[in-house]
Amino acid sequence: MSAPRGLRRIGTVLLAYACVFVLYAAFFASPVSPAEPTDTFDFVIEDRRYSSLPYIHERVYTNGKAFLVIATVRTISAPNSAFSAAFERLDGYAESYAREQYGVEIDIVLEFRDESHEFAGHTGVKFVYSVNKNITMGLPPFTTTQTVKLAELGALAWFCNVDFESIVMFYVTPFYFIEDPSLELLSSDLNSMVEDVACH
Amino acid sequence: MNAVVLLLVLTSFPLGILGLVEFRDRKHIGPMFSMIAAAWSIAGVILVSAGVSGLLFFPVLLVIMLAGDVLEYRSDKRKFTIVKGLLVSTVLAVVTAAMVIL
Repeated sequence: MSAPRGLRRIGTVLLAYACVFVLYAAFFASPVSPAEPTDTFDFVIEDRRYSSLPYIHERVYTNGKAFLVIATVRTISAPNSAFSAAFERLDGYAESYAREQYGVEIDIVLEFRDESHEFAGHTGVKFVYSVNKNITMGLPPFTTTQTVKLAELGALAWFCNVDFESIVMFYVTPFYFIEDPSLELLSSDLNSMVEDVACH
Repeated sequence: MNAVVLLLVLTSFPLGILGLVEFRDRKHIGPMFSMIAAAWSIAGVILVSAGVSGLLFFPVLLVIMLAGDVLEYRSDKRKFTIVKGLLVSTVLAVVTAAMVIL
């Protein structure tokens, strides 16, 4: 006995939508081609799959006092406003993280933001924060407190239309070189790595 | 065209084929909108991969799907059509809000 026509139609429509759902799930679960810089200097590289649905690949480059994190995310199309909304919360998050993880009181101040930043052949979002700390100098009672820029925290993101992937990048690079001049070279290396990252 | 783009193009096929079969069986304009939506989706995938902004994609898809369901309901008066229309419109409206208004 065949099912009534109405039920058969409902079944067919549900099946069609189920197929669409499965195909979208397969799309979002497809492995990405991780974005990477061409030269990695002496940085240690850690690779891991951060998430399977959507597929997010995370690559971390570390070298003592500097690090770069590149996340490649499977997306359909991501507007720059979405990246900006996430990056706007970065200062508060980083301040809390430093306080909770390391017991350090830092002040993170937005230095630069560009929501139509030309980068790697795409238009993306770039935020640069200054990581400041109040340092007391001199001997009592002749002490003065100065705000010193210790490091720079950067965030960049853009949508790679060719591969339907979004690249989200965070970096922290030292900016206070008086006590350790070698940090200047480290900072320069990291900046050139950041500038060099492109869609696969 | 790489495999991922092809996979995204394929997501338009089930509703496109369904629209084609229903249009052939019932000769009604409602299912035609499923075919239009499928064609728009395929065009959207190709245009976005070529560098066109994807901001307009979901709002237009929402309008096409809504128009199709309204015409469908005027023809068959089934509750299922309303439920289907509401569900699909809600999903598309949420995605549109996330993509455009955010």
